[in-house]
Amino acid sequence: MLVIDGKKVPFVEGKTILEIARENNIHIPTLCAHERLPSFGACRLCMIKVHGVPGFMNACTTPAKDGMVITTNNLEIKKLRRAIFELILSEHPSSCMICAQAEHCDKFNSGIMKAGVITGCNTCPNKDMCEVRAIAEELNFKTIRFPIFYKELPIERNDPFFDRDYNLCIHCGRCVRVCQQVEGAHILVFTKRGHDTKIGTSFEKPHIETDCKFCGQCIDVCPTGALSARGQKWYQEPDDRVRTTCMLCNKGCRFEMDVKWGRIVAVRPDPDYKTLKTGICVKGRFCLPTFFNAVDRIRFPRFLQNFKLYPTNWDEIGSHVAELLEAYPPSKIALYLTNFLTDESDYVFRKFAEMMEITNIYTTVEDLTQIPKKGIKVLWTTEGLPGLKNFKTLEHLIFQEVFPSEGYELADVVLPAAAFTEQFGTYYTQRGPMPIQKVVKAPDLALEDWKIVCKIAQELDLSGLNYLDVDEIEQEMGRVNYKQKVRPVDEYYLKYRGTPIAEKVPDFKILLEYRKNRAKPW
Amino acid sequence: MTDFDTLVQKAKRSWDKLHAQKTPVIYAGAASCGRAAGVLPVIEAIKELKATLPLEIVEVGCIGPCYLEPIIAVQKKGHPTIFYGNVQAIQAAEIVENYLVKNDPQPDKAIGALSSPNGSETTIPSIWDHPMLKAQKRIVLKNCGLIDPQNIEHYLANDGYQALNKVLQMKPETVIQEITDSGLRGRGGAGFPTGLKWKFTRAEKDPEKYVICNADEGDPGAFMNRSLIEGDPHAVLEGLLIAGYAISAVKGYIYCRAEYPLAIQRFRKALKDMRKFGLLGENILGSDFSFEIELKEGAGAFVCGEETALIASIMGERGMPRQKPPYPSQHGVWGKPTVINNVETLGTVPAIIRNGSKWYARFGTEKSKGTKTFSLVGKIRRSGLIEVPLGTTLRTVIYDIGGGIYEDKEFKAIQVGGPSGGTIPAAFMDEPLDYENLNKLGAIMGSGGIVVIDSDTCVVDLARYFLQFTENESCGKCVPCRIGTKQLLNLLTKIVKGEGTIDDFELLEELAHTISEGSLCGLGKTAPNPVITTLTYFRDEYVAHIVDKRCPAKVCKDLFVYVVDAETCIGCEICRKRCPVGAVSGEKKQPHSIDITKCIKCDVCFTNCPAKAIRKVDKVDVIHVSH
Repeated sequence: MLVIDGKKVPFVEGKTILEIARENNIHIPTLCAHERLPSFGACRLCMIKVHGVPGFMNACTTPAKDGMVITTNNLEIKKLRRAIFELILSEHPSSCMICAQAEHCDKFNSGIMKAGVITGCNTCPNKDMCEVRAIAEELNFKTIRFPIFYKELPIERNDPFFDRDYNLCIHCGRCVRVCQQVEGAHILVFTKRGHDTKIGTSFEKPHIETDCKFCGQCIDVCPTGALSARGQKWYQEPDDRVRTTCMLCNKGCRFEMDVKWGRIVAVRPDPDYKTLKTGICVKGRFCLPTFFNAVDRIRFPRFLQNFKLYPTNWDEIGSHVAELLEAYPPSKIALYLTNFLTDESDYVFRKFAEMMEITNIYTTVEDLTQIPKKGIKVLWTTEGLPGLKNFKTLEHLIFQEVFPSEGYELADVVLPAAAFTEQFGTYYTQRGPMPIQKVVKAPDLALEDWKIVCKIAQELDLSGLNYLDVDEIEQEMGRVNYKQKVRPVDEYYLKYRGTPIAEKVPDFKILLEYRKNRAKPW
Repeated sequence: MTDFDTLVQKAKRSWDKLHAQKTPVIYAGAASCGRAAGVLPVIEAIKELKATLPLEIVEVGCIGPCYLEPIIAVQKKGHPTIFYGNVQAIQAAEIVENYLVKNDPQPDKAIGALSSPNGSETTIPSIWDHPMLKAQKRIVLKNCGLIDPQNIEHYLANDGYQALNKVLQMKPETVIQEITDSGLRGRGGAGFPTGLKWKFTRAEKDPEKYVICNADEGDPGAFMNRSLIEGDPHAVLEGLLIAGYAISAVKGYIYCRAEYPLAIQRFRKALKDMRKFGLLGENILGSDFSFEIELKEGAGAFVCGEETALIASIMGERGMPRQKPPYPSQHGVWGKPTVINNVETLGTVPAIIRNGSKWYARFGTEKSKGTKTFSLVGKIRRSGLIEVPLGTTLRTVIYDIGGGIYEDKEFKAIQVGGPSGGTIPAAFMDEPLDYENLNKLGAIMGSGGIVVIDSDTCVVDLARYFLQFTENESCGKCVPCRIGTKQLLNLLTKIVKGEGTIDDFELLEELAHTISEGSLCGLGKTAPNPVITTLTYFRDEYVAHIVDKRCPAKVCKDLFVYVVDAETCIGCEICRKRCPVGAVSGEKKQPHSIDITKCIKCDVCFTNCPAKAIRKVDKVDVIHVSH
């Protein structure tokens, strides 16, 4: 049993005072402490007094002992805490925090300034999420009695994906700890000493020159705007946060995605899942939002008429495809199933093929060599494929994709597919079957792959292929004992369906080109 | 007879042979201090004599009186061994020849004599009656300056490794009890009882334990540890072995700062010899005790003297302290229970074991037992390394040992304990030097650096100097230390520039409180001590700077101007010619004058004036007159 601020709380062996206080809803302000990281004791805001111990102790590192009587917030502690925080503010661009007009500014000037230099909260991308600002408000700061030091460090923008403005850094060491002790990468370190101490890479190299994996965990833990993802930093508080599984490879990493204005704006590891320990890769962390938000997504079904792909609606394209398929014997029709289909879509496709008696189901580029041998005339592909124009037997190409990737120019039917972030489902990964959540709505008329199949099946009057939702498919998959396998897509696979990720994400292209001589680019 | 006895007998034989040999021996104090004072050219000069005069040169450590460096001692068979001080290369050969060939002991140049083995008489007083050495009690420095630190036999011949040999027959618990009974406290500064530290570490369940010798002496003006290592490295290593045995450690580390290349060299040689003599490695002296020692060089961070930072540094991490608890005794190097002791603490251990805890506890005061080395520097006549019983008064140290203030100026204060310590005014001259008393006065024992300050030192400027040091050496981890010392330094800089305001007093005090209460490690907690103590004892000087805009010591350059006293000036033109900016004007044999708008306060005129006609006058007075 412990007594914290007069409240009796249970003692737990091996926990710090801060942990016990938080478990019992006793608030102690902190900046350097983070639930994912080992305690550090640098910000000194969690100073408390333990009865019978001279001086102050910091709650975040002090192991709790049974019978301790702790005061977290008397006048003396408040005074010390304020004095320490005042020192932090004296070198963190804090003009907006202590500005007498701050309220008006927030009210009338809340637009985000894309300023190059951050001079205060109103030009800071982290304004709404800033922990320093939150504590300034908590402690009700109005003035700083010391001269303000602006560190005058150059803003570091010479790396792909993230910007670093160490002028905002409060040296809480979270990024260093996450890099060293969680990610095990040891890229971020403390450098220099005394007041010149800063955080950076050894020898001040750009991150791209180091072994940095661009996992972005440093950005996630940064309490200030010092570290920010370049493409993601101006969105402020998201409208929604949704967790899903990554389908860019077969590892099955869990994500938490920030949604703003109907778009994915940021990705980070699912805080409740073990991906947190291993981190997520640069593709998922940084490329994904830019990739799926790219302007040239396929948005409408189209069919070729007068040498042009005309947009149309699903009803029209459905009957168009149905007519096309009915015009050929099944032996002349082939399906190409991409590795990036959800298990449900894959199942529906295969069931469709079975009902249509289509036996030519391809899953690899090598399978395409069958086309001339078997005289395939209609190819329905779910992925952009290379070298299709060499297959002279092909008369029709049904192109179901997210992007107009390779082969698009040969298509006479285009079916807009939803990306994996735009649908529900399951994906069989190295971790087993993982749930896929719908994070955002698919653009315009794009649909889940299985729904597209259902639309066409409906036109073909095939029964047993009109599902309401993925649950229904899943139940059926269970009944028929359909087993999915892990797809042969590893972490370093650089495409999603038929589109190279680097094509849509310039920073990723820079990374790949810069590190082209390395065995692994990250 | 055991192997160890054979070793000792052999060592004693060669030691006695060295002292009884016909060939004269020159002992040259060749520790870093002697080298800085120029002993190496002296040795070269003496070596040249070898062609005509058979002699042997032995490089020894430092005996203590730095102000007499370079020091050599000349041993001549049948005559007393005589110490000569301030020996310069040009006169070295002459001094040696005069004694050895012409039989002239040159009492005017001698600083003292060691009674020769056959007890021959001399007019030269014993070196131990030298005023600087007489009031000392040399326990840990016993061998310094007398033995060749590179020769393990010299150490063995002077009771060396006797304590280790004794300890190996004792139970570890008994060893710890002996150290506890002696009252030995950590000589690194904090004064934690050494026996207790060993006991706590031994009590930890983890069988993998370590001992660390902290040789990262970093206080400006402190060199006790360096001198001890350079003069008698085996004493420290013997202490380290004993500590290792007492807590059943598997390995010892020496963390020595890289700025001490000679000390590192001495350690390396000593470790090599120890291994050769079976004092290191498997089954030391035939016992079950096996022990390894690894030498780790620090890379020049002051904060690495802090134990947790030091441990981090040993493990290859950035030297950043972490919050205690857990203490190193529970969670030290590689996460294992670790004892970390200062060089001097370990150097004292063999003497305690050899002579018994009762013997050691006789020295010192009730709570601070034994002796402590101090480096006595600053504005003092006899500067150097001393060892006195704890509780010795400041007066004894400054006047009896140190010979009073340099050039008989007014004794103003001492700064003890380096940048973590405090400034103690002359008024407390009769206070005993011990842990409790120094803490009471606002300073700390620290590793034992005493900087003597006379009336020419401005305490505000001094506090600023020390703060600049800590601000620079902060590891940058915690807020109060990283930003607080910067702001405190900023305030002091403002004050010495004459830009202070009366509100700054409150801010200074509050900031000092924030830093000392809020900081993570000892560096930060003690960083404001120079400010706190000077504010307490020399508040009038702060008032003079802040309110009157005067620097009473005339040190703060923004607060005074140079003027020529027309009556004293002899018109020699030296100042006019030497002034780098042409601020001085005046005709030959006519009083000169200084244009204060041009003057850059380089002090050249002031230091070179043969008539002492240049005066430092408070700027406020001059401005007042000109109005």
